[in-house]
Amino acid sequence: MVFIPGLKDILLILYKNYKYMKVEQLRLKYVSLDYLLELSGGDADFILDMILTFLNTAPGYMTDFELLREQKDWYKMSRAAHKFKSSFSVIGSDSLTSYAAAIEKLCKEEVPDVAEMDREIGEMKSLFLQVMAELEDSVKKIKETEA
Amino acid sequence: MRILVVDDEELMLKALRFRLLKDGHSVEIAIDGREALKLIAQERFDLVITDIMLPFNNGLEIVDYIKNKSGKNIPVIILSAVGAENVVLEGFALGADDYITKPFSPVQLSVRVKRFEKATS
Repeated sequence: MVFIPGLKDILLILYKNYKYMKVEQLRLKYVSLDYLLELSGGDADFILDMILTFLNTAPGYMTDFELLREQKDWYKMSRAAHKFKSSFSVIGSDSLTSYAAAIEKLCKEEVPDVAEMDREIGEMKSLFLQVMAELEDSVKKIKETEA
Repeated sequence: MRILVVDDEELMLKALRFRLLKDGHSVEIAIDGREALKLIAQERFDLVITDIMLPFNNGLEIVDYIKNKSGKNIPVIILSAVGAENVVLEGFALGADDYITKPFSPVQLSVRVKRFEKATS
């Protein structure tokens, strides 16, 4: 049996393509959505879901991470930094991934260089906030297509 | 194939699940090692894809359980971060069949999983 799309199906396909095109056209300064675009295979809703998941979970992880720093729990910090690496890389921030990798390495040293670590954490946090703001803005732009 | 994916990171889990479903597989998820071991003991899987650093039981314990204790012949792919090659070697020593670095290449994941599909069919 041959599937003949109706007008509703055609409109849905056109809408999905348009939404994906809007994601492709986003010009971002702090993150690259290339990985998510490749992974999604053209599904803008998936990309949106991934960005929203990051926006909803990452701030909590960052707060936990800062608490571990206060407690000087280097072991747990190294594990948290390790987890950050893959989240940051999926969301497309190479710089955040590098900061997380550097912090993980510092935490694993026998006597961690705390001053260096705090410098890395400070820079990571500052960039993290910029990434969050940029992603929040991207979500708004993608959602404009839903109006 | 029925695939168990084990990772405690939501983004990575979503990414893997999405890709594997797109490739036509059925996907179960475990967010820690303890849950994974329970599922492996109770259910049938054609493939397990597991991260190493997990709460409760780590990925190496999962590999060890599957390959040396469970009596089940399930292929295992280890998910590892770049630069964690030593851990991957430990996984291979325990019997792991393959590994994928995070963030994974979607095409590579599909191809590597397909190899096991052929082997189990």
